[in-house]
Amino acid sequence: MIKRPITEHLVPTREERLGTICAFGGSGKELAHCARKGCLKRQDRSFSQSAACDEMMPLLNAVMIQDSVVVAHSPVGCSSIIPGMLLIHKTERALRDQPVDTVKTISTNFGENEVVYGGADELEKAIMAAEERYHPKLITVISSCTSGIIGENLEGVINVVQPKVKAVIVPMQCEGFRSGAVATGYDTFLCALMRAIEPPREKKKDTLLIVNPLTISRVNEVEIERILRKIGVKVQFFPLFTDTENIRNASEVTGASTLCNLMSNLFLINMEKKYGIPFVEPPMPVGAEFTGWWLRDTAKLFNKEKEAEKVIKEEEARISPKLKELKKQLKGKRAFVGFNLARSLAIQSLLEELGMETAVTTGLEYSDAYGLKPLENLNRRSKKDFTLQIGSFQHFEWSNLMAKEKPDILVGGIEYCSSALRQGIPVAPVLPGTFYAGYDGAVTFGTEIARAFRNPSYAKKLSTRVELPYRTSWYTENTFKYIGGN
Amino acid sequence: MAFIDAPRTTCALGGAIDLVNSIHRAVPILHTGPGCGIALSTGNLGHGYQYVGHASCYACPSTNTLEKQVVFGGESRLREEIRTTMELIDADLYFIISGCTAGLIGDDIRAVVSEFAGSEKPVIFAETSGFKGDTYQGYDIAYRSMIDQLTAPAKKKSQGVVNLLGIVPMQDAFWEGNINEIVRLLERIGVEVNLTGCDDTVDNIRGAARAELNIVLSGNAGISVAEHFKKKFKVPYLAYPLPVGSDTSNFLRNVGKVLKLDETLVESVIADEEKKFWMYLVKFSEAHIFSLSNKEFSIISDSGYAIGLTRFLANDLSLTPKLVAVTENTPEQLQRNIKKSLAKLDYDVKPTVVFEPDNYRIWELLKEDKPHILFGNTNDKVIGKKLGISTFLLSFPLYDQVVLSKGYAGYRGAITLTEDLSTMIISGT
Repeated sequence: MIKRPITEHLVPTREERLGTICAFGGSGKELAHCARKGCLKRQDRSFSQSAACDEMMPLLNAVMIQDSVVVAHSPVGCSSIIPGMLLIHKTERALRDQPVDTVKTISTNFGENEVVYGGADELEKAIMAAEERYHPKLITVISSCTSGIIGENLEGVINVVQPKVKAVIVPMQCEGFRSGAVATGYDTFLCALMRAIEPPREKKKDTLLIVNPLTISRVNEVEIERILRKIGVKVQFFPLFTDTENIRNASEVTGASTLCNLMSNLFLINMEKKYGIPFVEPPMPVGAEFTGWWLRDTAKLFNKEKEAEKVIKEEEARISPKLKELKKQLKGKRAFVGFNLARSLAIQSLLEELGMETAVTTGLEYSDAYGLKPLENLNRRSKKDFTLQIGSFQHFEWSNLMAKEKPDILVGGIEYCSSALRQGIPVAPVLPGTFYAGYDGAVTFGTEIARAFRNPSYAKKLSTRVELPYRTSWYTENTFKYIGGN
Repeated sequence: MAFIDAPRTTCALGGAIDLVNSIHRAVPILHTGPGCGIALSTGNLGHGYQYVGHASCYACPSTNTLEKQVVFGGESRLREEIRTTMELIDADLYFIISGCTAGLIGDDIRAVVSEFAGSEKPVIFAETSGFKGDTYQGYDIAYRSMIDQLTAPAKKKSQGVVNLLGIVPMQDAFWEGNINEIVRLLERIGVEVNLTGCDDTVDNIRGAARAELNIVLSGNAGISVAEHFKKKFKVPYLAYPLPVGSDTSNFLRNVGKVLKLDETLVESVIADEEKKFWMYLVKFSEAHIFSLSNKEFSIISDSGYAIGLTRFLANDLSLTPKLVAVTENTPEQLQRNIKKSLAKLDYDVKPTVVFEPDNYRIWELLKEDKPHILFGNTNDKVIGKKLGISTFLLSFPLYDQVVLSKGYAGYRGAITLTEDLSTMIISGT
């Protein structure tokens, strides 16, 4: 691989670039209205709970790239989030017929000594160890609150070490305090990887680069590949669970799209600027409506709109009887949808098609760039207004909303599901490994939702035994009273 | 500190969070960056997928310090968070623990916390910036801070009362099961355990100085806490690494001697427990041939497990120890003690002992002289499989198994361990 000197590696925060907000409470309509009027403002909470930080996404994603070593330039605790992802690593590799393996991480293990004298020496040693021990193709160096506050010069160290190692060293500057928006971490991760992308040696015809984050499983990629094959488009997924060759040649594709328009924005913009790759950013293809939306937008990159229409018609006709069947079982059921907003809205769209009602939708952050159009779509399609909570997690608000809205089911990520279980609500988890994208995904996941209603015994019994941490008065308070703090 | 390949601990903040979550109706209030709470608890499934604590994981209050606090200081944000936490969360103890950012920008946490003196429920703090050390050091720092702020001097010692220290909750996935077995046995010989390390109440922490003895079940973690107790409240301590198998009898005799317990009672309990213990090991004798006969083992774990486990496997089950790699930061004096303990086995089969946190270096040693059986974590299992080594899941991170109630300490734990270990060998998992 060619080694280029480091020029820039600090991406703007989502707050700076897109006016992203991390605190909002109201209805979906209110949020869209405020967004159109331009009156959304950045607010904090005067009570807050553990959230996501900027460093998480680079750490968790970087370990999923083959032939790479992650060097966490931090105290030893930052990288201890990685074990939480190793189950994904195991299952996703298995789905791709890759053998089970460990992820390679080295922590520079900041102690008081490094805080006082700096950690540059230890960083250099760690990078050299990564090279000598594992002979990787890629070494990512990930900064932390501590390295940021004491002013570590990552570039300086990397410029000295790079000539001595074969691996491409990619710094990711992502101090945990930089941004409240988890997507800033994704921008950091993806844009930093551009350092390992080389100018195209050839241009591949009818090939689509699809950015896919950590938590959308291979089982969904397979469905997307199936649909795109029908319109004659080949797919290259980027950048996880593939080797660095697949990253190097990302510049050779015809166009680019994404399975999560929340995370891919800045990367796609930069790829267009640098390599002239046109891109689209439709919402996630979950349920017939959003999958159609996704396919129509994506097909434009290849002038295959007509082919796309034909496939959409065929596929919708194919799954329609199955969805009708599910609709009979699910009609009128009220759901709490818990995930980041890009995912939540896509799931909500599927629930609409299944005849369900959404009482609450959540998002870790909001910006018009990815959120406004799908939000307006759902505001239009939902029979009733739904509550929208924007916050980097913030369990107390979910807990309050679950108690007040008494949803019939929670559809969402693990953190939302376990909270719901303890409040007596049955769950349809959207885990890494869950199949819900595209047409077949709609049927499979719809069936899973129907199954969740059959036997709620665990949630029901559990909820009578658990002591929730909040005072009983909290459950009747205004959910969003702590927004607008210090 | 030197870099670590595939770390086997979290940081000082992690140890502090684990301690608070083990206390009855205690709520940790993190004064840290936004991600620390999740990275160190729920995000970290390495402790056998346990959900533990009154307001833990996603429910854990946290100031989530961003650039604004880094530049202008985080004290007012902390003040606000303590106030709103007390408003929202009903708890018996509010325990502020600070991380790297607060430590680096120099927030005066003591001053902010002192404003809440006289609140209905106690508000205390510990400064556990992640860079102060590993999980074990964080547990010690937070524990010392807690007794400084909560524990009252006792007018007199209560006879036969002890506190248990040194089993770091969550970091040892089997913490609860281990504690339950040790408490069961101590109660049988007439000891009252005040602080067990699992679900301790504020009242028990307040009254901890009345203990006649502190028992530290580790060669490292908890020793500085016991020293602190000794200096401050004149409570002596007995350091005895987590007993497993027949070594438990020696542990109980030691406790009996120090506390001057009724010797007949102690001996009758030991006889009764050993009878059952050996009954099961007789039952095991057929399976022993198939699974453990003449096998060699190595251990990668903290000092708590390293000694007790080696004694059980070598002294009771005739396995041969090869390498014992102790992975936490251990002061030199304690390293010497640990080495000494491991050198004294019933038969002439001494292990090589190293103090090494770096995974790669540990594995270089293991590859030189491969054991049949390895006690380690889930990563070790992956590496071990490639090299034909059977790996028993024991130490952090464990992301391949769910642990709720079981433990490997004492007599009963040793039988559970025997079952799990031989099942692993026989089933080839």
